Amino acid sequence: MTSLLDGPTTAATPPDARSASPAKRRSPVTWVRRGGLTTLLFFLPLLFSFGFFAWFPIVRGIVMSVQQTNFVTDPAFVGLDNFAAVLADPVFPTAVGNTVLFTVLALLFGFPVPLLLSVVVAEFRRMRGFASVLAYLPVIIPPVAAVLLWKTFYDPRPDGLFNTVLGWFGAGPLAWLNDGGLALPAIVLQATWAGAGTATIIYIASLMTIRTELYEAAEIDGATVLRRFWHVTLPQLRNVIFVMLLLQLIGTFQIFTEPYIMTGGGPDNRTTSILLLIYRYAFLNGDYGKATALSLMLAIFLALLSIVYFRLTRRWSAS
Amino acid sequence: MTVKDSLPVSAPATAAIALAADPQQPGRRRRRRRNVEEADRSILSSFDRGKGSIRVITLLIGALVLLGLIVVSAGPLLWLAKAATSTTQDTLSQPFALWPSGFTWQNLTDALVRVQFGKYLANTAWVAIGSWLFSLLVATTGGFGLSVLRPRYAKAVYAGVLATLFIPGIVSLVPLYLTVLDLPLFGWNLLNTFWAVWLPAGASAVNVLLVKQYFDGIPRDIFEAATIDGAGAFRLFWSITLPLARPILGVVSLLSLVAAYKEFLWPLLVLPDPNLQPLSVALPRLEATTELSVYLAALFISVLVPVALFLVFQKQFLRSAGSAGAIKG
Amino acid sequence: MKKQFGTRLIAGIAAGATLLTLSACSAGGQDSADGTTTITVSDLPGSDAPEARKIFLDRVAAFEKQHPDITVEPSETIWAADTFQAMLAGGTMPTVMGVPFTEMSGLIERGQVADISDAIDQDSVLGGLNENVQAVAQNAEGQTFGVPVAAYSMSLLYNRELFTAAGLDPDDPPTTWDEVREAAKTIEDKTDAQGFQTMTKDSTGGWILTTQSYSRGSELQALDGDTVTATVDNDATKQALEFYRTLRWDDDTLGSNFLLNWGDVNNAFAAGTVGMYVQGADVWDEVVTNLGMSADAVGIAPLPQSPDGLGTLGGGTVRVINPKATPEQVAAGLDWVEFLDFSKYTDETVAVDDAKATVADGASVGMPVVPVVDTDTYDQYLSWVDAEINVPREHFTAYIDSTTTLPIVPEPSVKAQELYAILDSVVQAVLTQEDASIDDLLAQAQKSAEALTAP
Repeated sequence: MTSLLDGPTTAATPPDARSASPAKRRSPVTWVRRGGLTTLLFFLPLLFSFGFFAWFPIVRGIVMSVQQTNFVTDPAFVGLDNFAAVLADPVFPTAVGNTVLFTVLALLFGFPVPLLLSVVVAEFRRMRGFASVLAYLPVIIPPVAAVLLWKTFYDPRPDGLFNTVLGWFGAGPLAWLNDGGLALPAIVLQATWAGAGTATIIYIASLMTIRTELYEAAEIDGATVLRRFWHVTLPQLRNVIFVMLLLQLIGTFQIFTEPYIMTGGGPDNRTTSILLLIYRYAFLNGDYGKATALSLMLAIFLALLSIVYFRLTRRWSAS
Repeated sequence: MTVKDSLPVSAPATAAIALAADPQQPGRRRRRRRNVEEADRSILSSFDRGKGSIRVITLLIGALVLLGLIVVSAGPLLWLAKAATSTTQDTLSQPFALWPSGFTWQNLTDALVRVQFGKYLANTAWVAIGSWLFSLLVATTGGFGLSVLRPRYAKAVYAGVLATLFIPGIVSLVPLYLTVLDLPLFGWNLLNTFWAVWLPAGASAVNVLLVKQYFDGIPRDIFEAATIDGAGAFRLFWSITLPLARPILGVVSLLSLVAAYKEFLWPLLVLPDPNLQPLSVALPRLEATTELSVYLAALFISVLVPVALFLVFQKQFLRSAGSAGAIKG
Repeated sequence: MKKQFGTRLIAGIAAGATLLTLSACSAGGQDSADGTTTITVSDLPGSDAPEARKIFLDRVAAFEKQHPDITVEPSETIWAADTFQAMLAGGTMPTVMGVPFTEMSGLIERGQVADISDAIDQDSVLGGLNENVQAVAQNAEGQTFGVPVAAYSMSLLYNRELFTAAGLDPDDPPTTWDEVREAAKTIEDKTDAQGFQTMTKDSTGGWILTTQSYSRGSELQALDGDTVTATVDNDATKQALEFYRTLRWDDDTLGSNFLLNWGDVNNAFAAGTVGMYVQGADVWDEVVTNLGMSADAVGIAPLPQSPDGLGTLGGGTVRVINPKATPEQVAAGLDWVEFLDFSKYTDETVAVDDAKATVADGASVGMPVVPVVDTDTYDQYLSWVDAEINVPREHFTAYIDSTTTLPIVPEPSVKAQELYAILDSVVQAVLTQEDASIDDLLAQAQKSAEALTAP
């Protein structure tokens, strides 16, 4: 019985938990009679969808990264040529640099805001629900609509929305997306606006689970409000914070929609991300070999991040 | 959570949500939440709140934060509502003036009629509903197989599903696209059919793992008793497991519906026919081909629908979003 | 004979080859056992243009009646940059497909369209096309891979109403780039509108820069025998960028948004906020019919030229054949192209019906285009449809005259789209960074462009 209650790690212990016999030599007939066919039937949707739309494409992607194909004649094996071609593309370092910069900026903008916001909102008594709804509102908007809306805000004319606001303070007008230095931060600002709600809600939920005794103990010890935040709240949130950090990292490394819609990668490739480059290789230039090669490189990097992430979350959930 | 990524499979989100589902103790979480509500204290205690200075400061900070939230979160949407009913000229020359030339309801009707916005809205609904159904089908049957039936090959299948978590979707974007163009063994071309969006949506490791873990938490005696009573696999699945799994099915439904609604890159690739495109793909095209006021009206309608749904089902939305926070050690 | 055998062999191999997977992909139609040939064809007008759609379907029926051994399956497929490769990969490319001029070099190079040299030689009408236009569908060896069916050339579009408002003569548009600059300043000063604009995004920046370079005396790729060399770093291109720089940073007549694609500039022009821009003359239908600009406001002038200008860049539509088509399908496909695209030049009834349907759908007849047939034939066609012409051709007389005098220079022959993408960033850099060094940018672009033409 105990084995039945076990989680994923022991999921595969006895092959058929309901049958007492070990059944080492099975004929197809007994397999069917024991419900093997029915079991397979249950697995069919999973095997179909994962087989065709997850496992096969992954394998094919790896194969294609060492091939060149025009879809008319048979693909030719080209070894690591595709990888070399990607590395030799002058836009490649630019795209990597942009993506890294994007990630760093996204952390700078997007990381402290939800944390502080959630701490304040968690203190609310009557307005907590209202504040949560407000904080989450931008997340609900379809990303494309949000990006397009902000693109309108970033109108570079002096009469543009943001430039009008700047005008009230005697500043601007700024060129926003038309400024090579400003375009990327502008996109990050939009992405932060669109994404901060998720993190805020998760932090609020975590804050609600901090045991009250900890605060009480700190209060009895005479800790000020700020010290309570620093010594109780933050350490208690440590794990969630780290998880959110990694999630954000993995997410921002795959940024596509925002630059695709707002700038098309411009001006002068200053907002071209890795994913945008992959898109260009594959769907504009028809160079699927280069596209899969770059995808593979990015995927290996992200897989490493995911493994780190998973190991940590497992350890924490076990403790 | 998955929604941020434009790719069908998002590794980290899965793990976060799967862990958050906390399957072993279905009852524990509820208890914990109640405790929290009862205690209802955080950094500040009731004693602090009673103190004058702290009270003023917290009220002030609270008011500021709330005001900021209203301006930042709701502001853009309110502006969009205004612009959607203003003339192009007003929006361009005085973005903050309130209807200097009066209301222009025409924009909204133009967006619905001339731009055929209803068509895109219907496409979006189709995409979302189909994706949801397939996600649910794969996740429940797969989860049932992996958790309850557990044949010999379950371990391999489980490993395969788990592996897709760590292999980011990006590696398979291009080949997945080619697969959809020419489905191996069948030779079907799914391009410009909703199947191209629906079928891959089913291959979500997040959903399968979530459901599997939840099923793992159901006491085995229930299944044993039913088996002794002569229930077959289908009855176990349909009459016993599914009814018990309602909460997790809700979470999976919400996740897959929201993900499908927000998807951009994938439908952009596989639905090039404008008559099939969902909103997310149609909007950027409308931007370049429609008058600004009508385009903003279209944008407004596309925002209105999810916001209305959110305001109605805010508890469910916030809970499923916040549940990822339960990973806390 | 030998050549034909080769073609057949290649077609056979191609048809037999299975693509990546087990399933074989047909060329969109098969030869059935009873001897009829089935072809699929692109560009069936959608249901939003019912008259044109009906005409198209009627023509399919008429063609099938005339050729009982050929079955035509029309599809609404139209060419798009990001879906064409998908069509090939998915095996859904129609037997006969319309593609833009720009794509031809790439398609020929990648072996993704059928060689129709032999099939076309047997055909008198298709064989007698305007040689200059036909050149876009040929490779360096003179083999033919397609039939040009419509052509346009780049022009200077200007807003006649803004010209009048600014005190400029709408019937005397600028003919040199210096005059363009002065006119832009005048419009900027005298009206609320922006003087000039240019595309920069989605490869259009490079496209227009290439056009500008042609008008100032240099191509961006030099063809010597069958070797192509990149010549991006040249004086003409430098002058073109210097022109942009002056308008942007000295005169401030280029507006403030420099992330614009084809649709964006047309939208701004149609909204009446822009005085002039460089665009294909065939954009008429888009700005007038689709975007609702007043027909009287649209002026189209020949592309301004420097003293050593080479002419203007040309483009258009080429019908190509699926490389996996059988010889029978190739022949049937060419018959169809001749019937669909050229009978209006030889048959008055067809010409008039076609024009009437176009008008009924709210589109334009008599648009400023470059004839794919010789001038006499085209004039005869115009006289047939004279009653249906619904555009003020007097607003672009100079342009129409120029289509026979101003040379049309083809687009770069190797990877034009990728070259344009490289130049996009050069244009964007000049327009968004005041201190951008044009010399450095061009030197850099030259290096990238060389990588494209490297064997």
